[in-house]
Amino acid sequence: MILEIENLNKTYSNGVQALKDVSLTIKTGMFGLLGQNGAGKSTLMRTVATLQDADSGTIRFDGIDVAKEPGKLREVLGYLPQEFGVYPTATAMELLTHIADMKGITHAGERKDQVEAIIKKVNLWEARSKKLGGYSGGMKQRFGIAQALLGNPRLIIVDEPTAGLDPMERNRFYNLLSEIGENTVVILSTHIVEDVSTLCNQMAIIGKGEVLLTGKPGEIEAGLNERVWEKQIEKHELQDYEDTMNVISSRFHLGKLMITVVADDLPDGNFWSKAPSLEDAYFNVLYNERSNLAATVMA
Amino acid sequence: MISNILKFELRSRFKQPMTLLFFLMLVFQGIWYTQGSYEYYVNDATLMNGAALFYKNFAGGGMLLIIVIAIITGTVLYKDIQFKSAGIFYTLPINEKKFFLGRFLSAFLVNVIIGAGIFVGMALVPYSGIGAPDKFGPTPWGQMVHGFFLLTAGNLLMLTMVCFASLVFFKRMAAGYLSIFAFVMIFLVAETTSGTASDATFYELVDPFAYVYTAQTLDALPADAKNDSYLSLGPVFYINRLVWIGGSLLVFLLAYRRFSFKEFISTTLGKKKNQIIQAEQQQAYAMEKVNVPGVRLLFSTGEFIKKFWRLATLEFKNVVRPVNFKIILSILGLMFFLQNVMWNATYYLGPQQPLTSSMTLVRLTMGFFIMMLLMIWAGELFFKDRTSNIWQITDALPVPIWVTQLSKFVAMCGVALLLALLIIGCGVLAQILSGGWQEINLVQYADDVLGYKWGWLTYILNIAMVFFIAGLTGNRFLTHILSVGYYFFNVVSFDMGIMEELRFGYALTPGIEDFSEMNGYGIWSIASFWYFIMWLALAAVFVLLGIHFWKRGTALNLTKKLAFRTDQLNLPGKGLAVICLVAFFLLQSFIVREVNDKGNFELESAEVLKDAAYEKNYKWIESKPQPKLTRLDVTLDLLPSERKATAEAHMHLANFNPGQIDSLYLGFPDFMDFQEIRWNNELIEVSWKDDELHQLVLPIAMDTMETGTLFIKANKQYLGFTQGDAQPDLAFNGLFMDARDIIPRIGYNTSRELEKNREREEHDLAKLTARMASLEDGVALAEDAFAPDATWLKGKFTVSTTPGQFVIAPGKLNRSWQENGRNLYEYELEAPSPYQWYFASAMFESSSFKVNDLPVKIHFKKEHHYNIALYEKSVKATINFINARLGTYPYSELRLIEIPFYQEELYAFPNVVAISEKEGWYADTTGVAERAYITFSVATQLIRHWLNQNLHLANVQGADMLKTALPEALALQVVRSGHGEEAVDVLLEKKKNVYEKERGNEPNHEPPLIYADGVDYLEENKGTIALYKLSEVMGPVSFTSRLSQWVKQKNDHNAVFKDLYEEWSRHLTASQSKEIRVDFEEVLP
Repeated sequence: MILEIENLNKTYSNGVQALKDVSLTIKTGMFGLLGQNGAGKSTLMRTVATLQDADSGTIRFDGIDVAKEPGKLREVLGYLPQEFGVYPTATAMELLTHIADMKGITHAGERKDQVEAIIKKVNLWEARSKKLGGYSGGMKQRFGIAQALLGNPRLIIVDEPTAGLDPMERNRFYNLLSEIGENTVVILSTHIVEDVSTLCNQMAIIGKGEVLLTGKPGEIEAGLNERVWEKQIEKHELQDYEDTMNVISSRFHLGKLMITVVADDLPDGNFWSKAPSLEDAYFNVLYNERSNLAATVMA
Repeated sequence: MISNILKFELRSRFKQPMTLLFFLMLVFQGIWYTQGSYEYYVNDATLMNGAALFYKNFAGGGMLLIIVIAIITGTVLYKDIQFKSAGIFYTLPINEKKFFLGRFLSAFLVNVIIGAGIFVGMALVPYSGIGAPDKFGPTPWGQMVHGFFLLTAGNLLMLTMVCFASLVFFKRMAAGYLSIFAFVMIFLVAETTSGTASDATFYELVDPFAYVYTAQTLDALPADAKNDSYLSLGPVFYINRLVWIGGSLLVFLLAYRRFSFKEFISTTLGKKKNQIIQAEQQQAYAMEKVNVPGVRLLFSTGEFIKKFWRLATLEFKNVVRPVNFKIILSILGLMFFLQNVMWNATYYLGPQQPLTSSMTLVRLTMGFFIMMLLMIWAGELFFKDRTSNIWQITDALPVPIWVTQLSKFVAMCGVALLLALLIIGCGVLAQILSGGWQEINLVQYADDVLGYKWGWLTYILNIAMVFFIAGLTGNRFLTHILSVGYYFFNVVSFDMGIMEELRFGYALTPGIEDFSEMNGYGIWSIASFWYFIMWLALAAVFVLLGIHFWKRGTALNLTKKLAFRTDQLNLPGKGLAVICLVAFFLLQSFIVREVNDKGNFELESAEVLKDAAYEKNYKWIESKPQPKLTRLDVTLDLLPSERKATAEAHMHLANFNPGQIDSLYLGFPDFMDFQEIRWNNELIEVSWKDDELHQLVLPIAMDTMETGTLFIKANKQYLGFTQGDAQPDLAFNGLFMDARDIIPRIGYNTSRELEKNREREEHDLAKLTARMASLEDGVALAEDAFAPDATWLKGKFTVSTTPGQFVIAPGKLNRSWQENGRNLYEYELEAPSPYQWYFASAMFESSSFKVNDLPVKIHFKKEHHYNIALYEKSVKATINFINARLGTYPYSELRLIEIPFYQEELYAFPNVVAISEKEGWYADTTGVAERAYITFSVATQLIRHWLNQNLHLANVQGADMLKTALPEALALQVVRSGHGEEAVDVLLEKKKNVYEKERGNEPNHEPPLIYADGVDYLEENKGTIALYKLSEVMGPVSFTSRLSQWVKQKNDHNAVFKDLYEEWSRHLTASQSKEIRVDFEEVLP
């Protein structure tokens, strides 16, 4: 199974170019799509999920041309949108059974068994007969995950799935996805680096509608080996460091400001070497993108 | 703080282009409604920008304004909940009461400013091009400002207060909408019902917009006073405002007290949240390893069809399960039931028996509200996935659009069916509780409430339209606006006469309001079927295109949406849409052929034009000497099921003119086809014939005093079907035919002349000073008021009809027999009588009795036996009154018959009194007023018999005082004897109210009673009241004895009312004369 996205472009009527010549090849397993808010992740997810047409480009999954045969793709798709609602007066059991029916699970017994199993899996069993209008944000998110898993989909798209989940539920979700990811193509769109680093064996970073980087998380991290440096500074010094060094991120640790710098050599004696993380790689990509943009503006 | 809120709200509201659009729409409405009101006021002295027109528009507001208010008002307060900004605003350090007041004032001001669009529209009326410059006078600015602030602003204040209060108490946006629409519904019921009410005070009070009061007050003004009068404010107005605005203020103040941020936001926080959180806590750590079993997936057409039904059932349940749906349904049920048991007034004074036809009327009186509710529900259901934001999940499911969307459409059809069944259930319950279980007619319930005569199938047509608009726009808000807006436009346009051809009004079918107990829906049952089939074809197109346009996922632009190649609807579906569209246009042309081309319908303007052309082209005939009809023998074959009649008429003519006649001019009715014409047994050819204006000339010369017989053999048959006129002269059951509907009229027909001066002016005809000839007109004085082209005459009639039906004709029934499977009857006049004769044929039940030696038969519809004893009693009382006080009753036998309601309410012709089905046959006569009315109507017609046979009426002003007012005034004496003075007072009060209401709409000039010129509102109301008063002043016995003597004195000479009036006056004292003179010789300002 393979999802191939080629030269995808999308410009909205207000002139915003959401996708710029996006090309990706996604194989079986977990694929992380990392990007800031507004980077174009959801546009890409919606387009793959047949909810939006691209201006140009193609998407193919297992021989299915998504633009031409959206119905075929929907037969194998599980989709969890970034934001979604529910019918407030329906119960989880009712709505999931209905969605299972719509997904083509026509045998009532099988439908019931799968719905019940998935409800248990997402930890909503106790609340299965409650009306969805009374669900908390986290419960609703779990409901969303449950519906995406119905019908044994071969392509699962989850858009910002861990938003609203507490740490325990997030762990449960990671386990769930990792189980599924063994036999299906799972695209995990997120702005949380930890989601990708925990789960994905392939990834891409997207920014302003463009694919900025693709690869395996480990390889991407390795690309920064011995080039990441960290230092504790005073708050007022930050601007000077940003003016003179490649400060890719800054954070507070125990009340002190820590900066992370990418450089081939030790910037000064007070820096110490840091083992690169996926987060560093991500920040580095975003830093480079900002720098390029600034350079273009200056030019 | 309030001012800050006001500034912010006004700025943000008026920055939206939609607000400007609303304003412009209301400007348009201001012009459009003014034109409609102008058409209502027919007098040429009323200007198009008259104050009265504007006042009415300000009070009514118009549907567009109501929609705009409904959209805007609730949002102003509820938007923080709707858009989840409450968390920000409600935690600000602000006074929540001031916040509430600030938002309220903002909503009210926005409504007033947008509502001012109507004011602007009215101010622009003279420049809008809707009328010629002479139709406009100076703009009545003072009255406009008065009307706007008194009525529109007052009503807006009331609606805003009620809407805000509903939001606070129910914490649902829907409550705000429904409160406004509930007020509108009460207004509509009051407005539509007040038209038939004898005393409108009740309706003036229950109308929340004070429209009924405004209309009643202004309608009563003289024509020219409508241009510049200020609306006078009487006690009823103040009570109305006190009840409605005061009541709204009270509710608003309670809401103000109750409003708090915490309370208002509580609905979104949810009451069950704690329970869920507890459940969540309990299960949070209950981790277990679960294997998800595999499933088989099936995607086949058969499976999709099964899914479609399952989904439709589910959607239906989702709509009907919520508590608020059940509450709305219960309220509707209560309203239907209450209307059925409390409000079923007919044309006469009071209630009627619980017939099924009156129970199903609720679908029409409440139809506006029912349809609007269904359309809004439909719009909500079609966008349910969008509204609840689950669309990204459902749209990505592997089911075709037709499964998901069409199932919603079917679910809405189910909801509509539920509503229709509720109407039936409430009707049946009302019938049982009213003791009328034997009146339950389930077939009629099914036909009316489940069929296409504004029943369930009509609901489906409108739901299909909403489905189409939803698919086309992909926008819930726009769908509501466009679908409800079009619905309003459709209904109001036809109601105001802006549109006349029903084939342009989606889902409309003819005749739905004209059910006859005797004739059912008559020809409309055929017409409405074809109209429905036509709309069904369009509805099918709507549904298919609704699927075609409905886009999954994010919205498409319109160009892409309109593209033929989309994957929503497959090729056979597209083909079917094209076939249905073609079928729709073919049916349109079929209807044009059957209705328009076959002459069953003409636009009102075309009819007026034709009448104007008739006068212009043939007025000269009036000066040509013509013979008079002196005897008429007719053989008539009636074929009601074919809507056909064939006639062989021997018209005996005599030339009483001093000179020779060189040609005979005949006017003939529509649909008449001459087979043979003979003069004194010789075949003659028509010299020329105008088929358009129905005039022909025969080459017949007659010397003075010469007589001859004109034989005419002719057919009359209605072909095709109609959308307007009931064509009652050839109805299926209960046909009622004027002899002139099949017998040509001699000479020029003055009754075809336009009588409204405004229309005459528009068609370059001289204005009329009076509608009848003056007392000095020698020619008219010599003419008979009933028939200028005839003397009093005798006749013999042999009439055949279809098996099962009975024929009524003027005169005494000589014999009846059966021949060739048809029923035949021979009638003959006992004595010469005025030429005002009618034929009837229907399936009748009959009841016989005698008054002294006079045999009387009552012929009525089998089921309408309720008041036969009362009719019998009334006949006896009246015959005795006539014999005792006026002279011998003129006929040797009498028949009372029931006829459909299509024509006049009551007829009197030799030996027969015909009474409309709605004038008492199934009245509930437990009250004295209803019993009195029946006596009054019977007595009036029987006294008319006596007058018609004893008094020749001159065809001049005042004739209708003798024809109409005098028998009515005498009948009141019969009523007083039988039912007491109070019953007379009730009848007189009704007449007074009708006169005061209708005189304001006098098209020309109201004449004094002695010169009354035959206009509906005058003689039978003011005339009757004045004559009754005169009889009271003189004493009833003196009044009738003077009358009786005067009639005898007149002998065969044509009588004039003024003479009779002067005769009476001679026996009055000076003070009595002075008092009476005001009534008869003067016109009140």
